[in-house]
Amino acid sequence: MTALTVRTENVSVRFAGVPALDRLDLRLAPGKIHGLLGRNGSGKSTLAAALAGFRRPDEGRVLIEGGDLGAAQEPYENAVVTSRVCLIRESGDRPDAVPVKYAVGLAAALRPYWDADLAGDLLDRFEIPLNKKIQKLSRGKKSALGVVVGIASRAPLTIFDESYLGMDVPSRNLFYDMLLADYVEVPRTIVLSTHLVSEVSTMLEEVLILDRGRLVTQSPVDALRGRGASIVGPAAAVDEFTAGFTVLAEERLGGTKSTTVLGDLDPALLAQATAAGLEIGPVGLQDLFVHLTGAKA
Amino acid sequence: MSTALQSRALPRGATDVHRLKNVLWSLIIGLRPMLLGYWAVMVVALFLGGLAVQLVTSGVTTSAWDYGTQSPKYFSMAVGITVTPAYFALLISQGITRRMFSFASGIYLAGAAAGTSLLWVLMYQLERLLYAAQGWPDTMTNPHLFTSTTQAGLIFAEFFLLILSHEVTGWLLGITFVRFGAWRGIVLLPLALLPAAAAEFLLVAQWLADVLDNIGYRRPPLAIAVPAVLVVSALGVYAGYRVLRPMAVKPTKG
Repeated sequence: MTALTVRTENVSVRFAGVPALDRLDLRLAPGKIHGLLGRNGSGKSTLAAALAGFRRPDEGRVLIEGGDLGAAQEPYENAVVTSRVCLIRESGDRPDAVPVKYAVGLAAALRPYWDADLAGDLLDRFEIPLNKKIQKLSRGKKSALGVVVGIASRAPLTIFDESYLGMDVPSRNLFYDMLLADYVEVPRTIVLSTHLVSEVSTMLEEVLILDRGRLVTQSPVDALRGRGASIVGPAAAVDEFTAGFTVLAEERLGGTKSTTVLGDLDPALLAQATAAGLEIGPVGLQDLFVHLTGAKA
Repeated sequence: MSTALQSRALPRGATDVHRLKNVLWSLIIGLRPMLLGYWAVMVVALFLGGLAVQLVTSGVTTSAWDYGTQSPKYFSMAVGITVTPAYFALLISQGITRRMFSFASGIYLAGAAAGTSLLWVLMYQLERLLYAAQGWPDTMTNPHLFTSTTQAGLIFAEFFLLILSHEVTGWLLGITFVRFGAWRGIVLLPLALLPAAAAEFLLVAQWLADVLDNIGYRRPPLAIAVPAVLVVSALGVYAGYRVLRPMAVKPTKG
């Protein structure tokens, strides 16, 4: 397996003195699909750019290792690393005045793991005409061209940064299906940076949530889902039960209260809640994301 | 101590030379319409059009091709300006380093300068044969390093050096405006113009020659001027790389 491991050590990036990434430490395990979640301006795109060598951190360092790369190396200005990393952004990073076949041909020539058959198949499925100029394509087709290049590159570290936002729902579903199918065939480290949490949540194995350039949480999806719960019942009982938890949100209607908490509810606690007449409900990934990154009081 | 080996190699047999060729090829194909279009316009509009105008007015008295002497420098500056805005994000996003992008750009600019200079040499030769056959006076309207269009080597040298230096100025203009934005790009204009200005003062040919001659400035010997222009142009490409090296790939605006 050629999948790569990613580490950041104390990475900071500032724009005009304002931190976009703030002393970020994280590790992405190899051969998994990671969700990089965060609100607009949370630092997702800046992190993706730093991982792919598009941008050099102001402080700290990004390290890529494993697979056929071996020991850790920084990606910036290092073709040994960047030839193994593919970042697809919504902007496309290409001139619009050239035909599709030029963009595809360039990727085929410069991407060492490129699969031409897969690229042809994906172009057919997304109905992208090879001879048409990119500027003549709809926004959805331009996004689709990006994801075709991203999937067919089969780079050991592949990052999609909101690159499928311009696609309609059927096209996005096709993208998710094709990415999963190819990931099963050729395992690699994939990062999906998005705020369409509900759409991608079933694909993700690990989730990182950024807020204001800082890592709010990083966890396997299942563990993350289990970390939150909503407790509904009489206000006094809810308050008593949730006293030891980190409260993410509270709502009250008359004497009934709903409190969303972060924390593991073990069987003993669940039994205690039931005995107190409380209802315990799961918190979806999107709800947890909203709570974790929502406006703080 | 880590026992993992650190790979210094590109994957799957890829080599720097192979990737450099592909980058060059992408520049050649992408900029081909611009360059070929310019060549076609110059041959058709300047040479054939200029000849036709002379024929129907006062008759052919001077070189039609020599009217276009200034044009390739300034057009080539536009080629140099285009390279970074059009290709930087495209190539870096495909895993190419800024170092290779700069190196490939330098090779491309030198090749484009050679191509345009060869066209100028060929058109001067074609014109000389045509004028000789028709008995027209092949008089040049601009000062040059060469005194006769039979001096193909000097024609090539003059045009190649002036075009190359102006391309490098364009390359610096493109980079400074992309990296620093419009206002700081304007402030940095004098620095970006250095390669072109140096070539003009070292070669003293074409439109500036009479002006410099009138103020008593004399061209240094070609043995000094020619390598000096090449060195200044190479330093210009390197300076562009130094400006590019810390530059992030900004998302392309749609």
